[in-house]
Amino acid sequence: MEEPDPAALRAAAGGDVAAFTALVRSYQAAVWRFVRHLVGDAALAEDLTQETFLRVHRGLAGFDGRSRFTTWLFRVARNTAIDELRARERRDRLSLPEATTAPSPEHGHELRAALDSLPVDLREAILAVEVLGVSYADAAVMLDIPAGTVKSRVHRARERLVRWLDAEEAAGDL
Amino acid sequence: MTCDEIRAAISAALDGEPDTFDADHLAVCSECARFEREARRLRSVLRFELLAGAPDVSDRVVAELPDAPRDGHSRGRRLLPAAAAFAVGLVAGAAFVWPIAPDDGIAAAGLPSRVVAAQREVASLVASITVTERSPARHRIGTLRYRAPDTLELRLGDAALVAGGDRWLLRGADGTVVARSGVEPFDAGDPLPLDLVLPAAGFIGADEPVSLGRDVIDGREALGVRVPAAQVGALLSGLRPGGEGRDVHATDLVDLWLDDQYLVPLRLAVRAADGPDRARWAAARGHAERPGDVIVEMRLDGVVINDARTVDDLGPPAVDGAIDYGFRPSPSAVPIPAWLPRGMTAHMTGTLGDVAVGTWTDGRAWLKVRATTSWTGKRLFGGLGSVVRELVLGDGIAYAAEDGGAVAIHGDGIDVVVSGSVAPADLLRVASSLGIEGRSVPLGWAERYTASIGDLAQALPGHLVLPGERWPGEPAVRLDERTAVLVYAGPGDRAVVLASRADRTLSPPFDPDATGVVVRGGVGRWSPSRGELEWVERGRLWTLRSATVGLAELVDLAGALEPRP
Repeated sequence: MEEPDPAALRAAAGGDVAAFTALVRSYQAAVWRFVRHLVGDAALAEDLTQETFLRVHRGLAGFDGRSRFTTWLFRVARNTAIDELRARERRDRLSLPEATTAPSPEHGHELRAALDSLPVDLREAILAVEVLGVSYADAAVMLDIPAGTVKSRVHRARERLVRWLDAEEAAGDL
Repeated sequence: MTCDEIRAAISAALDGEPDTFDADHLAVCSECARFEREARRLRSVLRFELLAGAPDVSDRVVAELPDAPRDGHSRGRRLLPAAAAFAVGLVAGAAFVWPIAPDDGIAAAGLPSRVVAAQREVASLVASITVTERSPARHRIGTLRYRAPDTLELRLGDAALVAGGDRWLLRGADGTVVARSGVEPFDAGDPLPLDLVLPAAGFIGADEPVSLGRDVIDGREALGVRVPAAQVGALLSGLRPGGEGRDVHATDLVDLWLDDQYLVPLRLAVRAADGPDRARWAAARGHAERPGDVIVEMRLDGVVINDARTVDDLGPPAVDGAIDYGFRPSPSAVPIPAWLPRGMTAHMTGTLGDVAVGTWTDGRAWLKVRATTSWTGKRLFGGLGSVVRELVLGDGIAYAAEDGGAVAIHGDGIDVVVSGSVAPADLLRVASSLGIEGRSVPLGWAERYTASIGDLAQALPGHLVLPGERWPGEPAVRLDERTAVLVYAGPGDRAVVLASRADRTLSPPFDPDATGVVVRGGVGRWSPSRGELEWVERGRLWTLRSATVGLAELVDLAGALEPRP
């Protein structure tokens, strides 16, 4: 994913609304896609995308550039989504979904069903690496966990999703 | 290693970590082989997933910002190239062709060379200028004043650009000022929008454009042409001083009306192109427009050309406290061409550090020679780009930029580059008249792998190339042990790059939005953020890439590729 022009980033951080609007327009689709997979709800993802950019706007002046902007942006997006999931958990008194077995194909043929079946920690790791295409190191910054943990979570997520794809194929859907 | 450990290593290798497992194991273990295969398939499913229905939240976000404007549109509180920086990376879209009035094309006959030649006819220009944009709606009026060769004042809305001599000043709509002094004449990074005066950059080396016929505009005879936005990018960016104003897509089409005598742009209208990538680009920026919609219009009124009295008071801006770029006007030791295009006279000489600079002008046309005796770079002096052409020049050789817009000579103890707003053939002739015998670039320089199309045919018989009727001119070629790169440059910013290397599979995509497409009758991949088509054919991995040509045209060009005998 392309990084924004540093001068443009500085302008947005300095209060240039036009520059910040351009920043939103450049990255909103990718943020929405990431968040939608994370929370499994398109409408909620839209609200969370909006909230992500409002948080980015508040934090931009303090963004120190030690990580890439996109890494920081998706970290903010991830935290925004996780906050919502935790709030929802409290509201609903429900646990976050924790699949212990791969879902069967008859429960849904969409990839989203398989992703939804993953625990959040595995889901966010595989989304970062596979959907956003970032490195383990960047995913580590984004998810605030060691790179080795990213690596193992991505592998565990892959094992589960591969089993899901196998089951799907066995059911003759692919 | 156990199978579990091997599968973990396969997973890591897929993500770019070093391979730590024995690939032979996959030949004997069906479980691990299946995991490896399915993990790749999973990647394909996830990364190739089509993104549909991504919302535009920008207005809502802006409305929620502290002190935000309530109309949901940005205020443009300052004027810097910042907002414009996000407008780069123009990606693909299919050209939308809407009906045009029948025309015999006579009006546009020979237009490209007429535009280039007309530069010497324009000594001054004064006009009022109006720019109207859609999505977001914006209407700006102001004045454009120009005195040859390089003094220009553009006031548009609350923004202003004043440039002249070795300095320029940009004032934003909010009063923010950016100023520079010590600027080299005709510097590539200069915001001087000379194409507003005459769009030479878009017509040097161009084919005859689609003619829209003739009309009378502002009491002047005018002729109309239709060109891609990428061809006249320099003109369009001139309408956005400091990035103020909306961006357009590279594949949008521009109806451009030029003064029939002086070729000054009198009117233009940019229409939105069609295609999924154009729509995606617009959605990402919040532009609500349909194919064929006019999204930007410009008009000049009260045009006065070559009346010196109207620009008497026009001069370089006062730039106290400006950042100094370091150019110093002075007599300099720059090599003097023995031949100059007709009418060219000395304009300004000077030095920028170790570099001697000389310029010559005639009206709006310009020519520049830069020379240094202390070049230590590992590539040609002059920044010609990564792929160049090697040319015979007198008893030596020279290198030309892929679009012919600059010629570099690596001589004995001296490195020179010649550039200008004149035809490539004139640049070559000027370079030839410098009397410097050019040498091949040394081993280790970036241009060492420069090749000709004949070298390519010899090294890789049957390599695909674009036929001449699909893209005028031969490509610049770079050929190393592994990769062949062919750059097809067109007018303005239009260009495509064809690259190939021995490979039988597509590697995992870098672009998370990559999607599958049919290329040359087979399956290929389209990466929108890279503007890149990839496919495998004849035992090679092929890439056709462009920042300014849309997906539909790129697929069409890929289909037209044919083996070079």
